[in-house]
Amino acid sequence: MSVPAYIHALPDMVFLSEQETIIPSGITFKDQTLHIDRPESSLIHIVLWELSGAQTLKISLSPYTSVKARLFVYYRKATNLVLDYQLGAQSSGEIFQSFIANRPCAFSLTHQGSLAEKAKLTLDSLLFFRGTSSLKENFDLIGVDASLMARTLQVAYQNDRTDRTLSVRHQAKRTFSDITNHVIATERAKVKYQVIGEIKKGMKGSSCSQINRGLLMGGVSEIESDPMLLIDEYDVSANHGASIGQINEEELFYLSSRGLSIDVATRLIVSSYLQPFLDVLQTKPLIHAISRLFNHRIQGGTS
Amino acid sequence: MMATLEIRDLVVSVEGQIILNGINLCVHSGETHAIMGPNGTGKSTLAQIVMGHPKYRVESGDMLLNGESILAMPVDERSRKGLFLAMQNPIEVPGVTNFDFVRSAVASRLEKGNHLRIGKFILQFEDTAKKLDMGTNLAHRYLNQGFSGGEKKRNEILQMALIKPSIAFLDEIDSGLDVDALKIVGENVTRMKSDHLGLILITHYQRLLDYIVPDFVHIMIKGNIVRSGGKDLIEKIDHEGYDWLKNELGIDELEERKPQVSIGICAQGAPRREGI
Repeated sequence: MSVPAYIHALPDMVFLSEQETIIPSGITFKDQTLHIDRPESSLIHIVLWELSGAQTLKISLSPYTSVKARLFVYYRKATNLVLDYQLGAQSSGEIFQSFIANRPCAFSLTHQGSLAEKAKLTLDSLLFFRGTSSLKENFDLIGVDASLMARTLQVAYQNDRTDRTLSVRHQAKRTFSDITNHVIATERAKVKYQVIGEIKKGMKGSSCSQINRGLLMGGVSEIESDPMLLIDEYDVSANHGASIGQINEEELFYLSSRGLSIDVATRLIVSSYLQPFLDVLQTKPLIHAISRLFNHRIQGGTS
Repeated sequence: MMATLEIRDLVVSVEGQIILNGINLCVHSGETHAIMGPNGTGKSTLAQIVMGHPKYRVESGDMLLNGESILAMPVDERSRKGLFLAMQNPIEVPGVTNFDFVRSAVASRLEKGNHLRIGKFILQFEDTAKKLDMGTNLAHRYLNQGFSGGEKKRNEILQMALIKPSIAFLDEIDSGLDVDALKIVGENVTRMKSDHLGLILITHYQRLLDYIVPDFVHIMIKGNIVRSGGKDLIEKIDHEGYDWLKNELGIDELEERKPQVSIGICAQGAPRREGI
């Protein structure tokens, strides 16, 4: 598969594939680690093109840096990826990442992150896996006042199978995490995910929250959600919510009552899951590419 | 286009319980009706059943729009035929912008082959939002998400202004509005009044009807319209409530009370254990 034009056109791009490595200025790549050390906030695109086999990528932010990054992971063969975010003290990362397969194959992702004092990570993830995928995600908030906001949307269809475990460990005082997981499953897809928020003893003033929402769109799709809070400290706030079901009848009624057919209303509601991610992307060709992929999968396409 | 909504002997149930008990009502475009009544008498249900809410079941009777029964029509078709319901509790739909929603709603009314002229529509949207004091960023905000109670109600009126229905129910559009917002909503709805729009206002209070003056006033009690009249009824209700009418009609107060809801086994009369 050739690299699409919208990828070629991305400015300030790190491009890593078996054939080619492109590293722009202000970034070094050594020992599978992208070290970003730019004095000013900038938008970086990182493309991992047609991965296969065992791969590791560490993304390291120096203290006091601020980075916006868009990471696109494309794979077409069995892949085992380790993705590691290391945020130094008072660094800030706004990272959008998407994982895209265009044919069913096994994918294993070990996703980890470590946030030092006052580090702030906003992570928006789109999961367009195909076939069988397994995710183990661990985020450690090791510095006081570290903060993680992670939002994920997965679209699973046909015979896709996903098993995902996400764990956020509050290991310092006044740490903050806010996790939102949305899963849309159609046809015969099965998605199982466990989300664990853990606040260790003595980590006073910490806050841990998670929302998990599963949307079943017909067929014999299945979503299994297992939210869990492990709290060993009194002076904290923690909450979780989980819902799995079909489209809310009241939402459908409201939209239909303005003249929208059930089909159009359903499409609008389902698209609304994607919209916040598109708002982050901003770049039009990327928005079109991601929207097209999303719509194909929702409608049972094979793009 | 002139329109007529006619409700004939309508009996409606929810979960096996009758909640509308033989309603009759006729509304022509150009008229403004107010429906008042105590809590839980079926006013909002009437609006929702006319719009086609799937929760309710029509046991008997009929609803006709311009002589055509709408009983078998899906919700969206009723809307495109000219019915509108400004809801008491508008739903929040995160991820759907106000503009996309209203544009889709207006576009759904266009005949096949016609397209919405986006530039013109943007100007209409902005102008209407301005008249309702909705702020400049309304188009890009998600539908009703994070809106105050008053903003949600004004957003319903904005949709109504752009969709241009022929018969519109405004279900407690005054609740959650402060004095200034009520004035804005009242003025905007009054501006919309025309020979092409029939309005049915569902309200508890006179204050809304000071701004949007009705031609007819109906009082609903126990799932039926028990009295219809003119504006003089509003003042009487405002001063005396509904007791005079219940007494006049011999409606048993006790029957009006809702059944008490028990919470937990203690409240259900579980035997007390010693020492508790």
